Amino acid sequence: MGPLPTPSRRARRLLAHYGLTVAAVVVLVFALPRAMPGDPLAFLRADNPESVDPAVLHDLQAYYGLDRPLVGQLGHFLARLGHGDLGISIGRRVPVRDLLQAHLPWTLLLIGASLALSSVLSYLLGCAAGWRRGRPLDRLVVMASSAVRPIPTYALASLLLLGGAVTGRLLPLGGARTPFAHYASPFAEIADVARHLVLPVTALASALVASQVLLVRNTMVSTLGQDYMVLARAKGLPLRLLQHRHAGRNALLPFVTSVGLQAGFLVGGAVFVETVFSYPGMGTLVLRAVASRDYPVLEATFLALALVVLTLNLFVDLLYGRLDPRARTG
Amino acid sequence: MTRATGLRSVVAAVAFALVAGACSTSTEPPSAPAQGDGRVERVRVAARPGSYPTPIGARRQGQLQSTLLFDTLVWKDSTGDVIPWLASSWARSPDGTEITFTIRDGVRWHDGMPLTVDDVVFSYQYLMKPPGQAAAGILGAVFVGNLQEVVAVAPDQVVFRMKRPWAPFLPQIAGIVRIIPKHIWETVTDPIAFTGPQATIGSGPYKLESYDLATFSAALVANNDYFLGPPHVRRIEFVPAADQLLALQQGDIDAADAGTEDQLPENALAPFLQDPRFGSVGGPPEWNRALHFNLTKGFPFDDKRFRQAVAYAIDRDDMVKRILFGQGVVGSSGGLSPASPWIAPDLPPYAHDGAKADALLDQIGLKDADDDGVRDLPDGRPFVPELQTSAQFSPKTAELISEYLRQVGLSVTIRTLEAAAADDSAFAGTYEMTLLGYGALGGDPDLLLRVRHTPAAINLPQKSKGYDNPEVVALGEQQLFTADDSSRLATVQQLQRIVAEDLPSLSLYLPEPQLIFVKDVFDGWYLTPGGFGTVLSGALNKHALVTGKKVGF
Repeated sequence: MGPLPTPSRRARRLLAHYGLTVAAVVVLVFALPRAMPGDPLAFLRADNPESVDPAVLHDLQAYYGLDRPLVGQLGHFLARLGHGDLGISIGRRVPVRDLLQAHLPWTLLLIGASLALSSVLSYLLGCAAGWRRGRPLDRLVVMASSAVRPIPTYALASLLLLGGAVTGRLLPLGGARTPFAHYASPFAEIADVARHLVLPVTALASALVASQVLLVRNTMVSTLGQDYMVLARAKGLPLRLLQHRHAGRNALLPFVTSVGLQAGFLVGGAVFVETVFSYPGMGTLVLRAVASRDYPVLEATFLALALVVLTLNLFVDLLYGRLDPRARTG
Repeated sequence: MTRATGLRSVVAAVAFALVAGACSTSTEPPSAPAQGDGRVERVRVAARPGSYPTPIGARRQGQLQSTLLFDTLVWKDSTGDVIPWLASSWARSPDGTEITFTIRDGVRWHDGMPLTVDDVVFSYQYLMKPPGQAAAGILGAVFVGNLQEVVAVAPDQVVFRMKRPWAPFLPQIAGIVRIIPKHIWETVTDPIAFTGPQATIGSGPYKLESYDLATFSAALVANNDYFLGPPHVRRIEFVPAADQLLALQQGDIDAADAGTEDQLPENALAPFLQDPRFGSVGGPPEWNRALHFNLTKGFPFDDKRFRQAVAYAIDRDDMVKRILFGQGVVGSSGGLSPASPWIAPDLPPYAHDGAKADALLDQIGLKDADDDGVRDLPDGRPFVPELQTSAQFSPKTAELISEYLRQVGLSVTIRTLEAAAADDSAFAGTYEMTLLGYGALGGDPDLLLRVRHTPAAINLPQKSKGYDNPEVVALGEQQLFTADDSSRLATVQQLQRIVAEDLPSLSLYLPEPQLIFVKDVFDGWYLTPGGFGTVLSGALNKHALVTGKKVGF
């Protein structure tokens, strides 16, 4: 058996792993849009018919680098990317960077709020249910999560939308903020954004809680039977310490792993939720770009979403190391 | 801070944010103040996807907005006729090869600089050569090849000299090319990348106040130095709205389009039409769904008797009832809108007639050879043509056609493609029969009759693939290069008769557009016959917003 890897070696290995993944993602985001049938310049001709005049079409193709062979296009894409240039949207006539700046923060807010809310709720509810195994709270948590889990995110979002429509104007049914609103104070602005966030976050977080609360509960149940828990109880430690420091921390490990695994689901779910609630995040941007085969936007959005997932995974990997000392050396 | 208290703080913060958000009162936009001078303070319409409102190559909502920020030499009012705009008048030379425009005096750009004839000349020249030509996609090779020069001949006059007269010059060129400020654009070498505040400085009746890339919401404010005086509507807001009718009902917008085939559920409009707060205005139907045959696919698609048989087999009156709930009309066999001023009066109607369809199919040898109830090819092989359709439009159309054709012994396979793939296939001509949806049927007939049926002209999805009739090509040129309006009408009508007989495509039905609006906010709306700008239809004609009138200033 060789020497145990040092923390820095682990970090290097982790970075190399993520570096390779990012490289593969970059090639994929270039190739995927081009694998779809359809022409990114096609949508121009509906509004500007003469843009398909052979005399001008060539200029347009050359401008977007679409006249080159695929390898040339890939080189052009990589060179642009190297300079931090994401190109110009074909359908929207604005720099893709500006589009990302307009859309990405909303998705990060939606994902961040959903992740924070669902993690806290899953952990607290799961711990409480596991601790009180077989009691009414436990049965309620198990039943509720079993009922919510099979519902697809978009269906859940649609149900919430219907519910919101029935209850009138209590909560906004779409958008991320009131258009053209003049806010009296920064707090009013935050409150407005939060009101718009309630339904989308509820939809996305419910799905996450439903899938994770059982995991925490089950881990908690199995942890409670461990020898060290028996010892801790025998030592007469306070309940709160037993629940969270001893049982909870051990239940946290598989939970954190699952949060990492859920990152992809979270981003995918956000796309559906954003569509249902007309939330102006990356989902609506991606869907429109797919419909119009807007290659520069597709490349940038796929890349940005993949980086969000990878960053979440990396964060979880690093967090895992902090939570479980064995992972730091093993 | 211990981990436990940290956790509690996070829970408290998230809970607070959500509860505070849920409990706080709605932050409504400021309501429209009373109208003191008779002008309308604000009009809100639904924001729709589109490009940034640049004057060069904008798309959809961006293109519409750019007509409010920029001006053209001429425009259209509610009659659909061309009216003076930046040009106060124009004159054609007797042979039609020269058109002289007199530009209004005292017009200023949004930045205060005066608009001159040099700006007009520059704007056209910018769009006729790279990089402006490709970026805009308005002036094609045929027009540019025909134009000899555009020059200023007086401080207020611009002349266009052409090799041959260009019949639709006023609506299709002078009514489309936005005049852009030379002092800004002369240094712009990359018009596609040129966005931002400078790119929207025009001479139009509105200025761009705000634009949100994420939601397409935008606010346009009146240009009070406008050459026609301060616009009647002071402010136009494009508001995000997932469902227009719902948004109208909830008071989020002041007018809603209700005119495409998917927006016509039975009785959906009834609550608005019965409510005295709302008004409605209709317009000529100009968007259609059409069945296109690909003549390059050989027999029987290249035999006009097959295409006529299909036309007789399809019950288009029934389609209007079933798909449009009666709120539309059957398409004209000549391809133009039945309401077009260019329509030929005596075209074959191809009214539903199964017996005629049967007879024609028998005539060309498509008979049921094996008694299975389905017609086969003359050599006995089964004939199962493919009918392509786009997921973008109503699926009922393909299903109904399949049923009508089954009744005359034709079995079709329906192939539904995602919108962009369907568009690509239509463009490339990889279908046998396809259903398409397109508009501009009420505008100038050049696109529909010449471009669509001339093999050498630009390719479009709605092009009649493989249709090559030398007489049509010659008449197409004849109607384009003429200065005589009455002879052009005769040529256009003759073209329709030939096309209706050859039937490379069949216009199925056209929904009747309708606009529902809140009367108290603004009731000057109209839908412009033939559209305005490039191929725009809809209610936001700046003539209505600037003057508050249906005609005149």
